Amino acid sequence: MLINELYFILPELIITSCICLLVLINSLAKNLRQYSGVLIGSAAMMACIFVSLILFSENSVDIFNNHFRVDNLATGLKLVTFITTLIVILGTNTDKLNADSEIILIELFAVLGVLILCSANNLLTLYLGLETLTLSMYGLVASKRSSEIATESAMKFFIQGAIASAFFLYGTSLIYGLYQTLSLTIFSNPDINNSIELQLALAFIICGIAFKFGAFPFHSWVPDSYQGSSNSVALFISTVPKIGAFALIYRLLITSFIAVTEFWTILILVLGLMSLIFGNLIAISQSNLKRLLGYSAIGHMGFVLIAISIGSLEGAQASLFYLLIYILMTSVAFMCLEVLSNKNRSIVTLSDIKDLNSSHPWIALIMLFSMFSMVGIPPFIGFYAKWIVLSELLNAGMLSVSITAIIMSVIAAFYYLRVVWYMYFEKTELPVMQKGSTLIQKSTLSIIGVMILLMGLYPSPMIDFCKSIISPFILID
Amino acid sequence: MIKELIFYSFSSVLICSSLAVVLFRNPVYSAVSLILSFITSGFLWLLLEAEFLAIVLILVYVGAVMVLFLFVIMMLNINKETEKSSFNSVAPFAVFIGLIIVAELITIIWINSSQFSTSSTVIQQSSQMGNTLLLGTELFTNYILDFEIAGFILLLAIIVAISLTLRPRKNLKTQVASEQINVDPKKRMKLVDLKETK
Repeated sequence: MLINELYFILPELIITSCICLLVLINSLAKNLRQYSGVLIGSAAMMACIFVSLILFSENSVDIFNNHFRVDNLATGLKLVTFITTLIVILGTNTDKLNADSEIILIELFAVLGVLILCSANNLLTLYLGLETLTLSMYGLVASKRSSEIATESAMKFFIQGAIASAFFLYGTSLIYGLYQTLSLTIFSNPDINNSIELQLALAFIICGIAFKFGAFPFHSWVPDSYQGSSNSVALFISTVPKIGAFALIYRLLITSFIAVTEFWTILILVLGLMSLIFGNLIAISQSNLKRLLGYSAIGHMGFVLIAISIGSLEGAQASLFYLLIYILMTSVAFMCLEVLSNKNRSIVTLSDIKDLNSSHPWIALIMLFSMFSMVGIPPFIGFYAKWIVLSELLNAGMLSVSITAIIMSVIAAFYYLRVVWYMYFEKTELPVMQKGSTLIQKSTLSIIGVMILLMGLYPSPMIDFCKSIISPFILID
Repeated sequence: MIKELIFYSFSSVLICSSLAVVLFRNPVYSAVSLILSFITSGFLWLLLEAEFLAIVLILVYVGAVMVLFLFVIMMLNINKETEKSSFNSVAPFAVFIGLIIVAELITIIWINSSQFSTSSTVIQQSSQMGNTLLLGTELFTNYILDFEIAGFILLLAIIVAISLTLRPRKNLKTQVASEQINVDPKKRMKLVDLKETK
């Protein structure tokens, strides 16, 4: 029995054993530590991709006394997590600073947290996964410990995160008081009546979820921690944790608590609209490139949330598709910064990338792909992401919401195109001249950069993937 | 009879020490009386046959949390005068919160709504086998996955804390055992035959 259960948590086991191995190697063989993280991390991710491809064909099972569910959604989201983490690890600089602050090791812990979130079928397990993820994110943001701004942003992030966790736990305790159980299977029963206590509890839980997404009232950690952390860390925390947040919202709201759908869709809609408006408007005035990407991330999360607020499976599919595309575009943008930065000079502000075209034409072109895709210009994949969300909104009859989303996208075009303007048309005395990045980093960047264009020309495999992992069978059982 | 005597003596100590926490001007005295109140409430748990909670209360709160409190108080070296003035401004608010808690307790104890009653099976089981054993078996069977995850969270906390605070010194001299063992004595020491001086 137990051996069968272990088969289903094989990806988690691989990650945990690699964590232990990496701890041993980093403490015993000090001369290997500069490359050990990248080697073991990417090997683990490849093994996990392989295993989850095998697990993808299995039926859904509930293991460990119904605390852990392995179904198509969990395996699919895990697969995305592994691929994203592989890209992130391959794109990370292997300099001494990153090795000393154990970035890859802590990233593996964060991946473990995301995996637990993807599969948790009990509020206790869910919370433990959430804490694993958040705790490692605090560590990652603080990892540039010699810098004052990093410490400050990590401290802010830590305090806000602790408050959000407290909100989440308070909602959980209310739910336990109401139903004497934490199992999500029981909450998916439509017989659960729609009481004011349940709505209150859910509102607290949604506060916790909004913090993880970085949605409007809980958004202020996003630009701060992007700015404070090093480029390698920003590359990770802008991508992988969002998958965990989506798993959280899907497990908690869309498949459980069906009885109060009308209530939470309104909350999520307000959160989504506010983050769309605030994120995009504040991003206009930013001169720091990482802060700009942080505010644009808030705007993108607004899109993800308004797609979820439709409350149907089609909405969830559109939302997941947008999220995956967002992850692809953001990882390209941050990886450009990471490849251009080295130990002596870190690329953080808009004036740093002035005239990038004449020194690094290929990287400038890839950054242009990413920016055009974020605006939503047709041949790139970002256009399809926005188009699918908007068409689902119109199908659901939410005309005013979709008009607001379109207006905000137009406003967003201003600051994305400003980045392009700086790269191509501004002149500078201090061009980016560096040779620190490796061939692996450059080729990873090229592959995912070209992916933005190729997927835009042929987006159906990605759409089919989203549809297959969010299948309508879930609602029937 | 004797049980009630014990209960009343401990609870009077508890009330006195909790009042002392608030009324002492010196924060160190307050912290020490908080320790006393934790210990006495631990004894009250023991009277209720909740031995696990009693031990955990003393181990965790007295052993870890309060020691940390004392460290912080002594390190910060808080000025007693400012402490006194801030107490007066906060007092009405604190009394208000206290009244709310009293009202909640009255609702639970006197009105005794059926919503708050715990399920009877847990009480039966714990009276049969002792609550430490019961908690242990639950933790290692039904909640084994969560227990393991909690273990990994602790490992993560250790690693992050160490990597954030460890600053190795540059000119640190360490022993290398293998080199020490493999040393050839003839290379290290040269025997010189000294002739007797006249």
